[in-house]
Amino acid sequence: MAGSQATIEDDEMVALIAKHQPMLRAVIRSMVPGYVSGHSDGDDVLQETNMVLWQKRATFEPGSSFPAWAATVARLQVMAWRKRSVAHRAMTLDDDALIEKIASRAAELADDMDQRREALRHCLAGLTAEQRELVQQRYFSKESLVDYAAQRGLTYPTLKKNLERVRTRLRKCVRLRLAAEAS
Amino acid sequence: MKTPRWESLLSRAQDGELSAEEKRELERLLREDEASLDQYLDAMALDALSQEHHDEESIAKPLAHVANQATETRAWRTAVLAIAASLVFVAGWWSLQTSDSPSSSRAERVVTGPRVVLAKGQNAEFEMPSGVQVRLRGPAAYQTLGDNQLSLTSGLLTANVPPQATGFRVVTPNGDVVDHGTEIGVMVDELQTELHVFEGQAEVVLPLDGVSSMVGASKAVRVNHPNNAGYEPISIQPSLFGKPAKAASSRIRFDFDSNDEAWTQTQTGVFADRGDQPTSNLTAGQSRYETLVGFVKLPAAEDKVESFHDNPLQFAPQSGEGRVLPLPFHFRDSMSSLRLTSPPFRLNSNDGPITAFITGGRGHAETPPDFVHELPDQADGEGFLGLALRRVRDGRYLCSVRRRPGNFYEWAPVEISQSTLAAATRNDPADEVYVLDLIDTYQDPRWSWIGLDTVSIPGRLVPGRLVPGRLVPDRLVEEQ
Repeated sequence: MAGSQATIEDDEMVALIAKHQPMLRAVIRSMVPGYVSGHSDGDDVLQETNMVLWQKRATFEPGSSFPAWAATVARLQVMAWRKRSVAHRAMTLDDDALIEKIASRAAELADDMDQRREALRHCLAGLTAEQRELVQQRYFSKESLVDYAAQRGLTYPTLKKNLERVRTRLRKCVRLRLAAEAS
Repeated sequence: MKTPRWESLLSRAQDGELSAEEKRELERLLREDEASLDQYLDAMALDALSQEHHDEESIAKPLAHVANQATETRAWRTAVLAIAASLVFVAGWWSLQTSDSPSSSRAERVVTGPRVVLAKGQNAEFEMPSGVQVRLRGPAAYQTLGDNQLSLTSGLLTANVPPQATGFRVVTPNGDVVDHGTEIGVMVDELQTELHVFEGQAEVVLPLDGVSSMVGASKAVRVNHPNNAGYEPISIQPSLFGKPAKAASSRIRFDFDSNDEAWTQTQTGVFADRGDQPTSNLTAGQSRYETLVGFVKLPAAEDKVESFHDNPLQFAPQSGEGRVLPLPFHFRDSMSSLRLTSPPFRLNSNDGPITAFITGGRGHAETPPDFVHELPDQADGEGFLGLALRRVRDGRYLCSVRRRPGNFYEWAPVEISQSTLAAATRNDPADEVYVLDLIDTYQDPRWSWIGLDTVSIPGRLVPGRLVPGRLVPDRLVEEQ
């Protein structure tokens, strides 16, 4: 049963790909800041990267760093995607050295992603109900923020400003918790 | 780098809203300042963590690209199924934050159960941690994947899902079933999965592209093998799941197609327009509910918000050829209260819920006033926006429903359950006559609206040409 041996490896590969989705999403989003992620076609590069990781799974050396390998694939996918249209170019970072620098941070991002998730969980709990609702609207609702703003009787720019404040607060809170754990 | 400008740049990058100039500025800062790069990666990591609920999609979707390589596809799908539990666990942490349920700490210790195989003639019956009652009939193979989710590779399953366990998911090789607080039956074999909905409603989710479809009470669908990704309606078979078959039901259905029994405009507003030149009946006229049959394109608004209303809105009906929408469509209607009334009917109290699909908003008030004559003439920020059951004899609103929060521009299923109907009408004689009112008494801050399609009522229309006035007193008054 040579087949069953291969299936186990396949399982492991899919598990690795699944586990590192947040890291890959973060790395790709950083390389393509123009992308409206979470929207219908916003995840193209991530999906393509997943597919290429799967198709090239034979070239991954067991024991080597999966995040580093995956981020290299992601970097090449981003650069290929950027070439495909003017719109893609406009969304993507132009500086190849900077893109490479971001890819080189992948292993580090992957390492503390679980701590970040845990920290985010705590930090979200520290928000006001209103702030939490705003985060939920942005990331978990199909309703557009424009509609949500109208519903709340706010202008869109005001809502965006509020979202910016919440994000700053969450980022600093997560950073503090990570630093506290590291020390 | 702690200037307000930098925070705004970060936030705009997180929303994909950078101008070309801002992108250049961002690149310069990231290149020159290591601390900026750190913060940028922190921000994007938080963004990615907030989107883990999309992970399943980003992993399942590449399937479509390798679909021509059958063995590749099968290996991928099998592997994805195997790791479904870890994704569920990951997605679960968010609900901890948003639900106030005291039991939510349970999600901390979600574990995947063992794979269980039942032989022919063997049965299993147990309760999920979420409270779902599950019964399985062998031959079957299943595995619990968390508090409120199990994978069924083959066999027959029935589930009673209490309201707090809404979202109970059955993962099958051919597609998933997501329950929305109901009683359902699921049958799985190698090539297909069948969903039978005995009460309430449930959703089937195809493995490719996350296509999903809502299935209502007393309905059933078959989902085919993923290579043939699709589903079809079939007839419900309660006996397959050891349930007594129900007597043939008679339901009234309104698809708002040209041949349907018409609903009546019982409350309309004054002339309104939104200043378009030229105007059309879609953008000007007496504000009212209208049944629009065929292809409808609502023109782009002059006074659009940002880029949202840039393009014409196209409203596909939820089913059939027609749907009900308020006209003129856009936020300069007259702000009058609007009401549309169904033909009169009698109810069968034990034949399932009233179901319908609603677009638009959900208003403010949980329910309409007690009586139809108490509805205000003008919509305001406190009003009700939804569908209500009215007893014709005295004009009393007995029960009502409004849509759940969601995208205004998508059809949302709503339901008045069989038990709610029974409780609301328990003192009425069997030949009591009712109507449904579609009510808009809400505006906030400028405009609000509601559309309707695919109404199903357990009952029968009152036959013959009855004098409307005798049946619907308020209609007589309004028509004079």
